Amino acid sequence: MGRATLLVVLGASVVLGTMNLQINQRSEQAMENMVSYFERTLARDLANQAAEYLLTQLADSSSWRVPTLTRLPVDLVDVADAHSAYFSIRDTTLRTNGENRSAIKLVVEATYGRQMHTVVVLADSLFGIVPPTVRGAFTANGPLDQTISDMQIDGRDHDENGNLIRNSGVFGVSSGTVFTNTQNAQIGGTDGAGIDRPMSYPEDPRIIEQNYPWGGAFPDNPDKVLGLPEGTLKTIAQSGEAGSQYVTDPKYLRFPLRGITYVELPAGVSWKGAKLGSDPSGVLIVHNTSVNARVENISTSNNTPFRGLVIADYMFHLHLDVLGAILLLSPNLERVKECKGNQDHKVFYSQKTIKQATQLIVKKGSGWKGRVPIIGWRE
Amino acid sequence: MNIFVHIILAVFLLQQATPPTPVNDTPLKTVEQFKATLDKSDLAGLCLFMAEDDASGPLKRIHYEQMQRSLENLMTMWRGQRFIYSVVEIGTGKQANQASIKVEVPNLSQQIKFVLLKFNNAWYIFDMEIYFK
Repeated sequence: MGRATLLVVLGASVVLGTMNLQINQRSEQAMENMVSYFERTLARDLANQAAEYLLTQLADSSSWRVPTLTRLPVDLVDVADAHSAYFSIRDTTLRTNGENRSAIKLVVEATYGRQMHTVVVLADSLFGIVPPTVRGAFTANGPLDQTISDMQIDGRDHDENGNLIRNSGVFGVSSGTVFTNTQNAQIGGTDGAGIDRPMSYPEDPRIIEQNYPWGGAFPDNPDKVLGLPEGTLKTIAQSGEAGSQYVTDPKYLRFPLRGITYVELPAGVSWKGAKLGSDPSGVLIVHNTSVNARVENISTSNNTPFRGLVIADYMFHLHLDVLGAILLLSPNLERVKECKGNQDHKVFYSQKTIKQATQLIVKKGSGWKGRVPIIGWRE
Repeated sequence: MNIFVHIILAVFLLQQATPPTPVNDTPLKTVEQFKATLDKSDLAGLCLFMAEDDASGPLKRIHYEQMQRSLENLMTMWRGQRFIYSVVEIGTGKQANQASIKVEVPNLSQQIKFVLLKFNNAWYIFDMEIYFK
C-alpha cells in the first residue's frame, strides 16, 4: 500500500512537473510572442510615423533629398530607447505604360527591440496639381468660336518641350456652350475614352466637349478653379514668393514672369498689346471681381512659349504659344471680332507644366496629404 | 432760371450721348488722326476714334475712362514710332461699312491690322490686331 502510494505520488509529481514545465514553456513562448508582437507593432508604427513626418518635410521642400540611409533624430519620432529609424529619400525612375516616369523613393527602416519594419513610399516628382476644371487645352464657360481663331489647339498631353505623351491628355476644347470651329482651327486632344486624336480640321468631334454643365456653376474666380479658399492666389502673388507678382496695372510687371502673376484690372479695362516677356511660366491670372478683365493681343518675346496655366476672364488675339492650358472665366467671350493669321501659334496641353506651375500653391498647405502625390506605399 | 438749368442739362446730356466727331470720313484718315493724337499723348482724344466693342456705334462717353486705361499700354508702345500705311481694304456689299488698314511699325517689327467700322459716314476703329514678326 505504502509502495503504491509512493508510486502514485512520484507519478503525479512527474506528470505535474512535466505539465508545469510545459506551462512555463508556453507561458514563456506567449510572453515572447507578446513582446515580439509589441515590438513589431511599435516598429511598424515607428516606420509609418517617420514616413509621414518625412513626407511632410518633403511637401515643404520638394527638392529635399537624402540619398544615403540616415538615422532619424530620436526626439522626432517620440518613443523611448530600444529603437532606431533610418531613412533615405532619392530620385528614381519608374517605367509605366512603356514610358519612363521620374519619381521620388522614400525608404524608412525602423527597429524596435529585435523587430524591424520597412516602409517604401513612391511619390511623383512633380508636386503640383492639374485642377479638374482644366477639361481641355482651352476651357471656357462662354463661346470659344471666335477666341480660338485659327490656332493649333491640342489637348493631348505634352512635356515641357512640346513632345507628345500618349493617351493622358484632355479634350481639345471644353465649353459651357455650343462650339463651332468657325476659323478652321486644327484641333486635337484625348477623348473621353482616353484615346489620343491628332490635330485636324475638321476636328474629331470626340475631342470637343460642348455644353458642359459644371455642376451648375462654372468657377467665377481663379481660386475656385484651383479649389482654394477665395483670396489665396492673390495673397501668394502679393507675397512675391518664387517671383510671384500682383499688379493692378500691367506696366509694373517685372520679367520674366514666374510663380503666380496676378493682374487685377479695373472693370471693363483691356490689357491691349500684352507682352509677357521672354520664357514666361507659372500661373498667369488676369481677372477682376466683375469677371470682365480683358487681355488682347497677347504675345511673348522671342517666340518663347508660356509654360503653365493661364486663367483670364476674357482673351482675344492670342499671338503666343502656350504649353499648359488656358481657362476663361467670363460667359461673355468674343462674339463679333475676328482673328486671323494665327495658324503658327498653338495651345498645347501639358500636365507637366501645369503641375510645375501649381507646385507653389500646393506647397502652401499643411501636412503631406494632398500635397505629396503618392504613387505607392509598401510595407 | 429753371429753363436755363434745363438747357444746360440738355446740352450736357447731348454731349454725353454723341461725342464730337473728328474729321474721320475715310478709314485712313481715322487711323492717321489716331496716330497723331497718340503722339500727342492725348489719351482722351484717342477715344474719339474708337468704336464700341459690340460694334453698336462710336464709343460711348461712359466707356471713355475704361478705353483710356486700355489704350495706355499701346500709347506707350507706339508713341513716336513711325507708322507705314500699307494696305487699305474697304468692304463691298454687306461689308461696305467695314474696312481694314495694315500698318507696319518697322522699329518694333510689328504689323498692325486696324479694323474700322462706319457709323454716320465716319470711320471708327473697332479692332486692332498686332502681329509680331
